[in-house]
Amino acid sequence: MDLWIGAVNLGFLYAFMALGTFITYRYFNIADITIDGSFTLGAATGAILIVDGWNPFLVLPVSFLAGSCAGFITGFIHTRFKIDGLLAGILVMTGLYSVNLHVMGKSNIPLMNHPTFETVAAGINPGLHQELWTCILLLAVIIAVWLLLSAFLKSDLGLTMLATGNNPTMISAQGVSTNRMKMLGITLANGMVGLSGILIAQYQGFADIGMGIGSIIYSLAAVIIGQALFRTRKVWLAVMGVILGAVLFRLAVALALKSGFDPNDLKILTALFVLLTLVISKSVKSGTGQETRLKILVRKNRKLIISASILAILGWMIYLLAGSGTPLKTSEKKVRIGIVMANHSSVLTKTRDGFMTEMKNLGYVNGRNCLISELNAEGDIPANKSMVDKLIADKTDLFLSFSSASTQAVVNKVKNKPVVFATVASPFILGAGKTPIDHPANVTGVYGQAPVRDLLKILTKFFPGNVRIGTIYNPGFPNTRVNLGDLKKAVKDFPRITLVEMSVSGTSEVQQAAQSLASKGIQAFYLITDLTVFDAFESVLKVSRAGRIPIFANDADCLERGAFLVYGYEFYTSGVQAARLADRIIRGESPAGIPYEHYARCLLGVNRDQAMQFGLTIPDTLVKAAEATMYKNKYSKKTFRLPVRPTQGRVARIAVFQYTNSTLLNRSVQGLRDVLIREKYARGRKLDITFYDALGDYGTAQSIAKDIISKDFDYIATASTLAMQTLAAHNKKVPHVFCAVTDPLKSGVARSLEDHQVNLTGLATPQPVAATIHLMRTLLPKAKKVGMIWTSSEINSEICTKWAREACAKEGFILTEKTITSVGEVDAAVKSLISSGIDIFFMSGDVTVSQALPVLGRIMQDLKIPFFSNSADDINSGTMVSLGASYYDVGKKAAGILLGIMDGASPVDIPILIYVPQTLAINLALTRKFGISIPDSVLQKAVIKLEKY
Amino acid sequence: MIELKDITVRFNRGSVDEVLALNNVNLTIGEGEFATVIGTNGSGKSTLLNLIAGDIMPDEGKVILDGKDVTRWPAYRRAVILSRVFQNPYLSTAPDMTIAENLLMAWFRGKTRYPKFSLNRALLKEFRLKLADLEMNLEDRITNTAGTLSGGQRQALTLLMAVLLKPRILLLDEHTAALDPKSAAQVIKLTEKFVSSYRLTSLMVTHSMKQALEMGTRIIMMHRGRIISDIPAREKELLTVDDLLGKFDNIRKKEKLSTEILANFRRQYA
Ligand SMILES: Nc1ncnc2c1ncn2[C@@H]1O[C@H](COP(=O)(O)OP(=O)(O)OP(=O)(O)O)[C@@H](O)[C@H]1O
Ligand SMILES: [Mg+2]
Repeated sequence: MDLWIGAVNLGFLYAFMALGTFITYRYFNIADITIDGSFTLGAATGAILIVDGWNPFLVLPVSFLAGSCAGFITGFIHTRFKIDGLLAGILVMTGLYSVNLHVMGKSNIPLMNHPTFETVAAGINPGLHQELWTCILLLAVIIAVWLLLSAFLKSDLGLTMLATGNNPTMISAQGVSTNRMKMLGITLANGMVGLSGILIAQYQGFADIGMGIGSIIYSLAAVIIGQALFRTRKVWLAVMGVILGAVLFRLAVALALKSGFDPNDLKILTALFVLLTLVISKSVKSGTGQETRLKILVRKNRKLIISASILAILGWMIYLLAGSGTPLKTSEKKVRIGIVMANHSSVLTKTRDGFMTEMKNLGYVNGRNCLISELNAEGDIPANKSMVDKLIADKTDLFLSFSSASTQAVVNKVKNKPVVFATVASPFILGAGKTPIDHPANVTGVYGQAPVRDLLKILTKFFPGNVRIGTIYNPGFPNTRVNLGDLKKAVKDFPRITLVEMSVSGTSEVQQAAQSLASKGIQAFYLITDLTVFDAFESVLKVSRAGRIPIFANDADCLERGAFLVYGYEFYTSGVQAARLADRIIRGESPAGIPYEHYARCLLGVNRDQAMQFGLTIPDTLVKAAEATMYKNKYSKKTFRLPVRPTQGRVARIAVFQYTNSTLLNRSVQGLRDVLIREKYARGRKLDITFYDALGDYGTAQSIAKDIISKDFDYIATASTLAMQTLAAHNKKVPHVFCAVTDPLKSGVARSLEDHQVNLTGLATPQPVAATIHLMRTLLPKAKKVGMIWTSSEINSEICTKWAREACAKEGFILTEKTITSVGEVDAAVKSLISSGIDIFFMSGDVTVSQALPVLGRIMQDLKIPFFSNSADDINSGTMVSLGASYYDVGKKAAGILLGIMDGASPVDIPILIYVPQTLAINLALTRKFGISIPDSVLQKAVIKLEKY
Repeated sequence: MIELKDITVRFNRGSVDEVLALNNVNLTIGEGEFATVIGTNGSGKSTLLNLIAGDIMPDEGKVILDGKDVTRWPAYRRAVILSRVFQNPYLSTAPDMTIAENLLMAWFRGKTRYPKFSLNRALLKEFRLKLADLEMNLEDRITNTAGTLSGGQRQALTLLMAVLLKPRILLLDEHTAALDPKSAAQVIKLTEKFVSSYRLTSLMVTHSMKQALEMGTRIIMMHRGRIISDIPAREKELLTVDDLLGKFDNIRKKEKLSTEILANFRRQYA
């Protein structure tokens, strides 16, 4: 619920900005992009004053004025120099960036511990839900604004402004300076925008240099929605339309988030939406010209189209509202489970059988509490895709895919429903994630690479001398390609084994391939997991028996069918594992928090009958270790049950929130995640972890914060300063552990390491700047000048640079700084640094500059300038020495704190920890090339030693 | 009331397309005088009016209105002294605003506008009365937007807007040329009525020889950016269309121009 009210509140606050755009766009037909800058300017001026102790209401007129000034300049440039309105706006917006930085003095001003309109409102709250109370107050304010603005636009002056846009020739003939009117309008509009800026800064708890980016599109969207809602020349209706437009727009964003939409796509959707509405309203307007049928259709049914879309959105919202917080409960709803299988091979059939049996054990009965539909592509790889489409059309709630081909089809297509795969060699080559933990949020499953090496080792026990082995494979299966790759790689480690390969494209070719291998003198068949070959296993068997060539296979099921020795996975268990994952998801767990599982069981089996027939001796140890045997024509297998994990206590729900998708934050979150996951599976702690990523967007971060709060998580962990700030501003209750923050004291959540917001604690990880500069001195005793490039808008960089200044002074370096605002300026900055003759190049904690890292590395290497940086990973991109914090360890440490809190510690008692687990990386090839000797004491500390460049 | 001294206006100065639109023009029009301006296409009539209104700044010379040197005044400042009606009815009213709101804009001609609400009942009543004078049934449509009016209605409204505050000077640039004959006649009738009852100093560009002869107290004939003939009231009363054409022919001969120009002139005015 908070999510929706929060969206409405945001909508109200953004409405001020949208009303500004309404004036410039509707009255003067200018899309005034100044607002991207004046929004931030209003926020910046207001924030500075609030920090200075001003009353949060008193700063509102000041912010209005600040915004107005920006608008005045745009208006002046536009009218006086007759420069196009859009261009004038771009000029001022660009300039404002520097102005805003100067106003703020840094790139981010936290307002956390200062009074804001919200805290004042909370003070007079008669006992309502806080967000709702804010909403009521804002509603009152917005109604006042609505009446005031409508009245103004209806006044003599307002009408003159309207006339100016409507017919400039006429109004100037009536003695009105159109220039002055335009300037008045643009000034007023930007005043509103400035006001919106400070209001939002207060609401979100901080002002930030980048908060205005994209404002113009958002407010245009609001204006256009408003225009579509009320096609009227009644001013009061039009103004109301804009306010509603702003609210609807924010609601749409919340909706998109709620339905698991990738926030990355939000921008293009907004752009498309604005474009579409513009096109439709244009085609309606140009009614006088020739009308196409489409236009007439659109015009005639405009009301219908609009009401239908609004109804659809509302309906969707209600649906989501009703569904929020209620996971797929078996008692309430039949879960639709869709299974996609690539073919009817024994491997997959076993998987399926295991799955079905285990589902039954878990209490799922087809038709009673679940609806299972199975689709089989029967070997036709493209058919997998069509089957997925069908399942999507059938409103499948949970997808299962057995085999790589099916999994690939499902994972490519299904993005917002859970997917569980099984019997997949490597989900990673299918594009489903990078590690068992770092995977698509809706996907989990069971996988395993066949234990090729182990089987080869066993094989050598039977063939003490040189041995030729043959394998058959169908390159059409991605799984097979992985397995073959593994085999080829593994064979290289066994110099006595020679591998002969034979590829087939279907089952009918298998026997020929086997015969051809036999004629090439192989002593053993080695069958990797390949669906085609397994289907035609009997063909291989025939050749095997005829030539007394034993079959070694990675598929445990082959033993029963006549293979000599198997070591590999039992796919029945793979199905069982998949069923258990499916059960967890149906019970409400998010696949995002479930790491991929490796096959639980590797089975060793031997055929003792065949050993006698083929004249092979099986070592005793092997016979003992074998879990399955063929003996006297009888198959026997030791029974095996997958252990059920212990469960105890209540599930602790944890939200992990990272601000953007950068390596540093990903590392931190990974560390955090790994500890929590280990805790969950190895120790049986009941955890339900949800991961959020705002992808660097302020609005999204706001909505995510609201969402986290509305979902009543038990614990919150954040990575990055902005994520911490956004959440800390709204959450004063739920324990919150932060990490990947350079300086929490500067971010307003704490006055000292001990004195911090009561529900919050965490880790401060400054870049080890001083240590790095000390290291420069150690390695380069004669160096004088250090050059540095940093981005003025990055608060981290700013802090690091400050430290660098201090450390350089201490170590006797002269520091030359170049500041930039975007990655495009790096090149020029480097050139100017180099021309000033630096001895060392240093980069610390700057995200923008690090984008140019590979180029910088190359340049410095060419010029023989030692390159130091503050992140160990940089060493691969050409730095000479990188001393950084290991953010993986930082994340792990943060998880440790979180676990302590779960065990009963209170955040208020835990001081913020300054934690810099140093990792040193040195490129020894470079130091040698530059003739720099590394003392042993330093060398010992280095975790990464690179030998190439 | 209107005094032009040694006025030269060039367009596209310094380029190959340079046009000498007004060539050393001197003109004085006394208070209460109503002069009609005639001439061939491109002779500089509109330029002359735009110059007086302030849309165009002269390259040389001075513009003196109502005793004040307004040469460097922008157009909107001169609106205190003069008002104007354009040829194109669309140029003179704001289409998305009501008749009342358009009139309100004229009500403030040359005055500062404040965020006040002046369009009260009393003012509306006054507007209605004035609209009734137009005899175009506009008084009942005072809350309709100007965009819904016909060209003739619009031009009548524009005329009313122009004289609403009794300007010192009224500039009319072929303000009936785009209208059907009936509306044109009505607008001409209104023009004469307003000009005579308010004793306005007026300049009217026209392509109708009949209008030029029947209306006003003085005829100014232009050619190639110069005033080639200035016929005072006394002489004008006796003048016929043929006289005018003859006059033009004389000038043509003097200037050694082709007969084509005369044909052109005749086509336009006869
Ligand atoms: N804005 C301008 N830029 C360039 N040349 C112009 C401009 N306005 C007018 N001219 C030129 O100046 C000359 C005088 O034009 P003007 O409009 O005053 O003629 P006019 O007597 O009003 O003609 P018409 O009877 O066709 O209305 C013409 O040659 C015209 O092409
Ligand atoms: Mg003209």
